[in-house]
Amino acid sequence: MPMTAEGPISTTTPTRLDPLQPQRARPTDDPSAGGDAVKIDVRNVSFWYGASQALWDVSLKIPARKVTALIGPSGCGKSTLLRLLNRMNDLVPGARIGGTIALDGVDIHDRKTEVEILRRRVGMVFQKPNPFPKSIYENVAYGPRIQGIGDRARLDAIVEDSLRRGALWNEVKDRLDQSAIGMSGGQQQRLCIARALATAPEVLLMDEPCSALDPASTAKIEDLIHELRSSVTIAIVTHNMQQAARVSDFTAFMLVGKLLEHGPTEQIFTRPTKKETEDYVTGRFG
Amino acid sequence: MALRQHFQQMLADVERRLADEGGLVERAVDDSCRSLLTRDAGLAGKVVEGDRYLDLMEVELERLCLDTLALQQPMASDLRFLAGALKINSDLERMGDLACNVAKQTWRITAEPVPEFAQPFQELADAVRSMVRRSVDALLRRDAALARDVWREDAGVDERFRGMLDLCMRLMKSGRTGVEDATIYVAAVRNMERIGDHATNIAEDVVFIVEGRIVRHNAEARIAPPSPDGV
Repeated sequence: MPMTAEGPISTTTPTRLDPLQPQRARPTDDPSAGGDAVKIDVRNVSFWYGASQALWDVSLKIPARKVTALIGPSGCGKSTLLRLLNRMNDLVPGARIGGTIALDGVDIHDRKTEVEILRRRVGMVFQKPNPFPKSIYENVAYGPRIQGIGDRARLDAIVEDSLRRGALWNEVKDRLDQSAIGMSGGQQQRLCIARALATAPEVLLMDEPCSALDPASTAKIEDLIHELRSSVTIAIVTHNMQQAARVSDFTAFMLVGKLLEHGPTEQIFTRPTKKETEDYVTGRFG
Repeated sequence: MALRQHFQQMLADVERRLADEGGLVERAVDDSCRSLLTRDAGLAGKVVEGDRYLDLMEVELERLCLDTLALQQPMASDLRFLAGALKINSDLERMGDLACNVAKQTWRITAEPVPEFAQPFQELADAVRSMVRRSVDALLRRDAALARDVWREDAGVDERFRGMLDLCMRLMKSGRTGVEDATIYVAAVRNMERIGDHATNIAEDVVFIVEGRIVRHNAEARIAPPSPDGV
């Protein structure tokens, strides 16, 4: 099932993603998902950067409105997997994928899937805060504007709501017209989260969102993740195992492109079943 | 070089101290029994002195465990080991107290214990000392099967305990032993049996450390090893 820079090809029965009617996640009895509804279903996914294979037959169910942490040593494929979830790897020349990734049961690599709509539903926060060189207000209003919302009152409401959900409103409400570039690193990252939330995503992908932040800013982001989990499905890549233990409901351990173990976070960090997982979480290799 | 060498050294230090405490408790069980049966006041004094040392060891080990938890943030088997070590540390300290209680009866008893009591009490102490040794061995070897054996041994100790209570009653009723000394017999037997209970606590903690399963307050069937399919 190859995918080129022009677009992925999937062998699954296509069903169109409907941007206006996000489908309800379906219940599952999958034990690795803890019996929760599955939001994203990764099935037998392999992935290549040109001739180099980065993922090997990865299957993972990401439960709705839960936090799933992807952990593993550098180069294990966790960021690659995360970026596949909203097709960020589409633009990588020579990249191709095998297997399927379904969002609410719909294959995201289907030809009919509009990637812009997918990325609206599956937002992303990166390792380094990347605010636009615009005002705080414009950073948050950017996404809704792109979606066609022009009404100022509605935009104001979205900006306030997003900044509140991003735990930033009280710090910036009196200086919304100031440049985002002047904010601290922690504030910039929360602004990026607020910006992602402004398009009302159902899933938020976070690629080491705290790696460039100090402990206090990290704590705020982690509190924010706790707040968001009631309404948004979160997948987070982190090298900080204590952070994975603190913020996630489920943890997936990856090694050399394979998913070795996936389960409730408390199980992975107290009684993992695989020796490799045990060795990694206890710091005996990594 | 192995990763997290300093952390590994801290874990090894915790383990070594637990082994040392276990050795002291074993000796305390032995000496307290002997001091009572032979009315050796000097030996009883050594048990009491040893218990003070054990108390200090317990405090030091608790501090080391807390430092290791705070500074090294252990996970998985290391976390289970340190959580178990904290509990085992408390159990061993309490066992030392109980042995101390037995030894102190040496100073109160009015006559050398009668042979009908001395023989089974020595056997009870031997069984309890064996449980102490094997529970600590199970910890050091991370041997859940051995821990389960220790857990099962407690039923035998309990049976001996009940038999000895009956014996004390008979000795009292028959006038073979005065009420004061018979009361001391009962206290000694009770304290020795309690040491066995703490050894079973250690055995349960060893199962937790090895398998991650909390087996306290459960029947034997529920601490059976996991089946091969993990169910």
